[in-house]
Amino acid sequence: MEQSVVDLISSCLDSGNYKEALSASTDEKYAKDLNDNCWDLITAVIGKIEDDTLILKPSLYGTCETLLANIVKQCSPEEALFEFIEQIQVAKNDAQFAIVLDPVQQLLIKLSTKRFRSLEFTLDSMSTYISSIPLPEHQLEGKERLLMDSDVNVRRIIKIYSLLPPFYNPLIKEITLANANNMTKDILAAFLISLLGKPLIYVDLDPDCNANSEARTCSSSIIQDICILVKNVNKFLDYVEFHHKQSLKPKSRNILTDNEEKLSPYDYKEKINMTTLSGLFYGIYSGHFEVPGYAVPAVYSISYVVHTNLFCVVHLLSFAEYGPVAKGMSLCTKLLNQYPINTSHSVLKNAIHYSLCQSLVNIAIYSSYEMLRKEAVKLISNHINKFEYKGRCMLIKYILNNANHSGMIGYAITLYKNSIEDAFKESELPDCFTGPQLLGMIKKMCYLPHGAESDLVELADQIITALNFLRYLALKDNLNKTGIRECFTIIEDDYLKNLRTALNMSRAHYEVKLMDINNSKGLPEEQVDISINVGGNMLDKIPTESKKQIIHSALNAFHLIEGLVARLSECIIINKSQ
Amino acid sequence: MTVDEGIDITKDGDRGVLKRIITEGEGTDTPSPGCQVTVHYTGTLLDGTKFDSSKDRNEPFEFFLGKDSVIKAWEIGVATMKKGEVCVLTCAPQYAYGPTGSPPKIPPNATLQFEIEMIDWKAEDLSPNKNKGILRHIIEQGSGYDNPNDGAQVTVELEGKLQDGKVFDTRTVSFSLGEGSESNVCEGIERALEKFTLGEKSRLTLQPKYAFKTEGNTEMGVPPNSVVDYTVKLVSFEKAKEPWSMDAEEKLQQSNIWKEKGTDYFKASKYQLAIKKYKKVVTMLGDLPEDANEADEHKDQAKQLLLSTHLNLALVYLKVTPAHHYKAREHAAKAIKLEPQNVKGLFRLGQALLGLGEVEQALQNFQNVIELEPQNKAAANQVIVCRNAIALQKKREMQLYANMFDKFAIRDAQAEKQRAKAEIDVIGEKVGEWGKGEGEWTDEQRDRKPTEFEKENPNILLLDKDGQFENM
Repeated sequence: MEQSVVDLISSCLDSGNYKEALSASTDEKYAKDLNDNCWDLITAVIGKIEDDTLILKPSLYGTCETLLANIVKQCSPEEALFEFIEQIQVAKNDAQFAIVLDPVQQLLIKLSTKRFRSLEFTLDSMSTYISSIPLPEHQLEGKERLLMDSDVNVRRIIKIYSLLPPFYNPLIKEITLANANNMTKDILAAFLISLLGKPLIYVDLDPDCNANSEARTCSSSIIQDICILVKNVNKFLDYVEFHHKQSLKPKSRNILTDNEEKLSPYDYKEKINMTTLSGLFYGIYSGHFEVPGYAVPAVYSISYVVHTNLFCVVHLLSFAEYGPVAKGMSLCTKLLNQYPINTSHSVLKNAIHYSLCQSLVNIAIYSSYEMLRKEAVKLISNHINKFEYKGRCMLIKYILNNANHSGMIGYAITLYKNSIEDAFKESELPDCFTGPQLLGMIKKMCYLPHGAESDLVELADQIITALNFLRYLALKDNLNKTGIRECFTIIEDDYLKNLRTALNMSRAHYEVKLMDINNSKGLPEEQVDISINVGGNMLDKIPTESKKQIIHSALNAFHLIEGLVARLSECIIINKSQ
Repeated sequence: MTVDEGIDITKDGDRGVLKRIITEGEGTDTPSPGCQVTVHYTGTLLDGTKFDSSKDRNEPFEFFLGKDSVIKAWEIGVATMKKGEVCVLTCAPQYAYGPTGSPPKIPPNATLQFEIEMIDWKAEDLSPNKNKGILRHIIEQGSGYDNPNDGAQVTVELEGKLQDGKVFDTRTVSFSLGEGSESNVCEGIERALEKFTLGEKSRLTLQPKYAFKTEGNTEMGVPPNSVVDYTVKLVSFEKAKEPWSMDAEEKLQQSNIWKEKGTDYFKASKYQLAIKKYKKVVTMLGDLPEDANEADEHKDQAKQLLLSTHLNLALVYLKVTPAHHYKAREHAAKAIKLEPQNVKGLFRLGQALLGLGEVEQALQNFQNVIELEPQNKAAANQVIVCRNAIALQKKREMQLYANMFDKFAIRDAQAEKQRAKAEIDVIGEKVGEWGKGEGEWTDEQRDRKPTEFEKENPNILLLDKDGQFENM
């Protein structure tokens, strides 16, 4: 017995005898051997492919392609497919992944009768390979984000994604022609939706940034294809609701454990989950992509669409990376545009609005990207101003209670002030800006957590805006429409008094510090063996100059507050005398 | 175009939704809320432009009625349709997309016309695998958006019927969702309840798998393998919501549930669990009575609830072993702050104080109780206990203070002696480094015998020629 066909072809490929390899694959005398050993042959051929083969040895690549095509023609399709699926899963590089797609497609078309299982396996193994690509993350902002396109992993993601449509398009065509409501359609749709999750969700798809990027082209075609397959994409809003409720459950009791019935392809969490659905609805509702009109039936109520989509928004905003958060923000902006103005506060019974508010506040405070922080602040006010006055007050109160950040609280106070200003234009002030409710809000704004011993530097933003707000009211409301006059005593006794004491103490403290620093000048710096470690990063010692700067800015803030307190007292007296 | 044609089917009668039947349907049944409805439709603007049609998708449109997932006009209109019916709904903007419209298809303030064909509907299937194991027909809609979570305490009214109409189960029952089997509540009801809203009343049709399985239930008289119909009303449930997102009414409702649960635990002598539940009530309602924004009625209710919770907490803390008198005092005091004349509060405060050994204050409290309720025997007994304790204490004090002056005198004398001893010590043998110095006595010098002259003239000191004392 001479050399087996596998060894023969393998050695031919190694030595560059491509013609011989090809002729061996079609040679009658090897036919049986080839049929018996098709698994090994597939492995051997694919093993020859490296990432750079196509460029360095194009003829080798071409030969391998042809060889695989020949194998597909000759071997039993089931067996070959099985091996190819295996190869997708263990693919060592993207070129191996790429070269397999064509033969697999041929096989799937051949196996049209009992296709859906094999299709499912194929797509699963493709998902596995795609999910093994590392996720890109760089701290880039604005135009710098364009550089993301040259990130190795982003390139890989785009490359692989661009290979997919040619692979599945013939299948879609077949399904739509047959117009069958069958499993194959659902399996393919579930796969396409899963493609919109990780890792694509980390890639920038914003048209303002780069309208013609390859990533956008890929996503756009995926979204189009999903629409073609499922027709009414809004039916997935039900799944959003389901997954959202699941995520709220304390212990995830998997209700699909009793597997006696067949699950629909949409029930697999690896494919359809909050992240992939968020990717889908970002694509549909953010306005970043063109969506065929028929895919979104015009009978759904706005509130249902918006509220359900907000689950996706909140989910996207829970990421720390730029990609998903930016997508969440775009989607949120668009949804809020659709939302009617002067929405009743009763809608706030739906807890999603508070979750949204909380997520935006978190991003505005903690996100490491300046752009996102600024955008979040804008969205907070957009969101709040969609409600009528009472609703606005409820959300503002929520921020006052829950935002652990003086600047954010200051911003909430400003929003309240703006709302009051709007309300003054109405013939009658709504309840939420008068009497006890106003007092309640004022108490929350004018809050010194440790009385006179509170840290004024930390609270400066809140204090300054609160004082500004009170001054505004004292000046504006000279007819006492809000009942602010009845609050003045409380403000004076509970707040201003403490604030004055606090100012005196803090200033004295900081002046002493400043003096200490000035006095110790010239003396050799005292060596203190203290280092501060935050999150694994060593903090540098603060140089004396910066220390002085900090102290001066604190003193400035005290000065400003003092001025505001004095002015407020004046305004209060004027208001009272009117 | 026939804009104004049709019957007004709005509740308000504002001609916002007009219905014109084109083909009559069969029978009298119409879908109830919760049903999954299948229709074909074509929507047009008043100028005849078609903006959407399910026929273009070649796929009928499905949605759940009563979830507000479609525009209001549809919720109202489709609910009136019989199977096979075809009608035209003319929908004013406030029942459709309002002043904003739905760009790009629907312009602002657009009146829409839909031709709808009712194909079919099926009862909502709540079984996890959609195998018609749990079917729901909503009889009365609930309110709000929340559903009970797994593990939440729920109270439901149940009526179970067999297929032949025989009623086998009628009761109102409270249980923890997920532990219904302990109260003989079958799995299907629990699964379904996860989708109920507050106050909802529905009929559930349960396959044996989700009801009493192949065994049936002899106690209740359910034969094996029977399909059962349950009418279930969700009366109340524990919310997993955060306190800030609840309004006063919800807070009160929730607190009541916790309080009752706490009391159950207390009765079962599970004191720690009871304390947990009561404390939840306190944190939930803590600042409600002072909240100026709330209605007086709510404030009063909250106050009552807080009062009884504090009272119960005081009692529990007295009951635990070892009794936690500090906590008991704290809560009793809070109860009294809410209602100064509360007899139970005063009594428990007294008990706590007694436990802490503050007998006089305890007595005061018990006497207050008797003042308010002269026939209160328990308090009278406690007064006696207090008096005895005080008497005992006095006796002890008397022993302690008897012959106080003699005792002090003895002690003073002893102290004097000690002091004297200490003084001697100061100039005793060990004077340390002050020996030997210039002009100082060394120990040796001090120990020498006095001279004759000194013996004769003990008051005379001799000076040397420099005017210093001469060493003697």
